[in-house]
Amino acid sequence: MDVKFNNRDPVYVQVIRHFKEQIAKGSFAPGHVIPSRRELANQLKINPNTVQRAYKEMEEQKLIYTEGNMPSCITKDETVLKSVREELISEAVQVFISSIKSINAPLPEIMELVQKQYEEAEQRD
Amino acid sequence: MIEVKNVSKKYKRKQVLKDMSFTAEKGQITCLIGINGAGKTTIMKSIMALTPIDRGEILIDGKKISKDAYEKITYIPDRLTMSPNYTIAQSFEFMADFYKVWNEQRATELLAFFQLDPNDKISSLSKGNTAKVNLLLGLALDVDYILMDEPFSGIDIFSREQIANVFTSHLIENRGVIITTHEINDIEHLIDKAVLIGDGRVLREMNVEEMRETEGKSVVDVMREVYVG
Amino acid sequence: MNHYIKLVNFEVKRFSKLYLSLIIAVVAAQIIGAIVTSSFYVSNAETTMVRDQMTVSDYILTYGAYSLQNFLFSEYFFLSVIFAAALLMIYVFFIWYRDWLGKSSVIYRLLMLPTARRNVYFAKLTTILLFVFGLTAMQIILLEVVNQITQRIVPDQLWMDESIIYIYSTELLDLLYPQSPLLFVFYYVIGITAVAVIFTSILFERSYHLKGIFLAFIYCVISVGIVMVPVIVQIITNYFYTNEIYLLVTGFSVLTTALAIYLADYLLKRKINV
Repeated sequence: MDVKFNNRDPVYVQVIRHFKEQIAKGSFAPGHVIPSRRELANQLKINPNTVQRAYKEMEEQKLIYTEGNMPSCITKDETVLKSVREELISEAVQVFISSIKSINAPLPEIMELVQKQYEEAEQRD
Repeated sequence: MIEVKNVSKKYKRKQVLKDMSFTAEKGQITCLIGINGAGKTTIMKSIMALTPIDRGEILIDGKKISKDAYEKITYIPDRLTMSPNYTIAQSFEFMADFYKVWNEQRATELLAFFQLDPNDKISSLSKGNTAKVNLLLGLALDVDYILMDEPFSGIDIFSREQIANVFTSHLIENRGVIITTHEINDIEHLIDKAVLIGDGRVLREMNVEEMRETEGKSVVDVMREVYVG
Repeated sequence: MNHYIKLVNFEVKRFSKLYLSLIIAVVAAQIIGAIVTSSFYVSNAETTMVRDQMTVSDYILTYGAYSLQNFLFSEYFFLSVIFAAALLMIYVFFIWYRDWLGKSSVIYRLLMLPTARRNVYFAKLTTILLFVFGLTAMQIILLEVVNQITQRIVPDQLWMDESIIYIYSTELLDLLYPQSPLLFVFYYVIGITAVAVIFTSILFERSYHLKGIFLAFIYCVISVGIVMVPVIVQIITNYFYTNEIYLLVTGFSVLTTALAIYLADYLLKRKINV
């Protein structure tokens, strides 16, 4: 796992974000077993306490669940999974909107451009 | 928890430590940051009673240091602490002889991890490998606290990666670690707490994630503030 | 106790190579010396007897027979003993300073052992003692070897056998092997005290550096003073018998050693600097 963390945002927040991205992308399937606190710390080269904090938050946000003494897994709850996707998309949209707000273009024009470029990007992949 | 309370020390006319106070918790990695001569090594030696202090006190789990404390805390300085004529295997024997908490299994594991030959004489090793042996002798003790002085200095970049690996492994898990280093970039994500030292005193003591959360600053940012600004 | 023994083992092994070399050197010097002095005497005697037309008894009357004492008064014996003594004397200092010197700082490890730091002190003291006893024991055996070799070189007529008591009352030997138990205890207690005082002085220097050297000097003067108390009292009052003075000095020496140990313990625990 080659994740680059910046030094200014809390690392545990960045870890949660990383998980959300992977969930939205589908790389972390629902029910997927996540690495132990120490394993993840070793993979990401970060402090295990940070991973602990991230896992705790994610557990509270219902992104992951732990059954008894079993290792923790990604949630299978469709509602949660859906809201994660929506959250990330909505974030990206927010960023997009604030960056083009100042240009003052009409919405149809914007939508047309978005569709065109999205389809081009799809073809390239 | 290691508590350094108002420690002052003079050495040959220079006030090396000035009313220094900070704590290092078990289960956390605390990093002492400061330029050479700021007092990092001196305070570490003081914690280990390898040099006397003039004022203040140092407590390890609430108690002053005693001979039994050396089974609970160890120090890995930047120099070798074993007879150079010994082979690595003989140094293991020595440690096993004196320390109840010497973990032979862990030592062998580390030997393989660092790719060292137990039959090599310590004096014949390269600088990097000597540093690894030093590290090994400390890490193979089942102590609660480990003090490391510049564990990254003088080691090539690949060995540094190995050492960073060590910090996220079971070798460090649940222990209290105090390290000093210049190489803050390599380890910013590994540490829990940063203690910025300057001119013998503590200029800033902070939990790094908290600093990021509340002020959006990295350790390097704070360093700039404290030392330059 | 266990740690103390392990430390003694550690200290002994560290020095063993040098010690072995020393023993070999002394043995070689004395055996060679024995061969050389006796052969020289014999050839000299033969030449003289022929030249001056003397009989053996005449020769013995004029020039004396050969005995072990001839060897004992030779440079070979004298220098080998002095050399060994000097080396051990140097090691009394080096046994400490070697732990600070060089790339490796063994002193860090010794001070971080889960054992009372005075055990390090005791171990070093014991080691010096063991090496001294080792040499003196070896010398007794060596002297007998020399005796045997010499008797094979010197013809019976020229050889004067002497009693062991007489041999061992020769100058240097009576110092190493005093014949009265009181003197034996006296010499060795003084010896141990001297080493203990030197050790503690070294610790003063290691704890306080330049200031430490002055403190060490003052401390040595005080130590010598304590040991000399009975002698001074004797000079003033002339009250005691000679034997009693030896006894008293021995007692005050033991006191001085106790003080040395007490100070060393304090310095090692609270003042030592790596």
